[in-house]
Amino acid sequence: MDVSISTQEGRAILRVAGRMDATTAPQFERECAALIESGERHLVAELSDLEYISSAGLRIFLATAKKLKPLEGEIRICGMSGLVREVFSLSGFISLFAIYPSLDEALAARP
Amino acid sequence: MKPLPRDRDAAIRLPATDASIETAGARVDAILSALGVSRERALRIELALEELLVNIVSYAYPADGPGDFEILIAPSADAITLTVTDWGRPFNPLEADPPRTGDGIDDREPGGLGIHLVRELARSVRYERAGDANRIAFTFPTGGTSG
Repeated sequence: MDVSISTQEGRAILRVAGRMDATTAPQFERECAALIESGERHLVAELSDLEYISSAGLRIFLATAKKLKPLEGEIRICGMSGLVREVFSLSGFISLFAIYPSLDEALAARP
Repeated sequence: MKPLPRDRDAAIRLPATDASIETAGARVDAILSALGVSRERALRIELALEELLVNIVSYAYPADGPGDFEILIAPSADAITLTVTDWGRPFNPLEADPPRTGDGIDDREPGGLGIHLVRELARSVRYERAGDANRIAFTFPTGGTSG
């Protein structure tokens, strides 16, 4: 799994590629935690190059959302397809997150 | 479906450790690829396998206690069955309560999602206690696009 981080329109964008599994999910957790610690409140996870996510990855999304909520922040998700979208859907996570087809739409949407 | 390559074991036995989950995943990935299973289908099979192995590594054996898991891969004409065995305490993960997928973010807990995904993705999944072993077999179709 590769995670690259950039900032655009006041939001921290995490582009995640490859596989988020039990082995790699902690790396994503560290990246999210570091951004929140550095004061970022509005994260966007761009997942168009993510081909695999297991429950270990879902846990990190849930934990990050729970961390951001009392800080009046959020993590938006965009670019999901294939198995990743299916896993979010089967888990009921689709309704827990603000999900957008593309990064542009995730950045353009109002809170 | 291609026959299993003769030089590649369709049985994988490893110590039940975190590191073995990745090792097992890579070896199963190679076997599925050699069998001609589509990438899309292989990812689903590997997801189900990962969720079951995480359970075994976390719960089957006493902390720091030794123990193994074993994966058998059995392809048939239109499906593939993986059987995962451990020799830990009796534990049927299929008896766990399903996650409350309709809850809001404050009420959602991460537990139970893994087995839920196995149930939802696989065509069938069954558990048996066989002697001193826990055995879970799950089946995915290998034709078509769903299941």
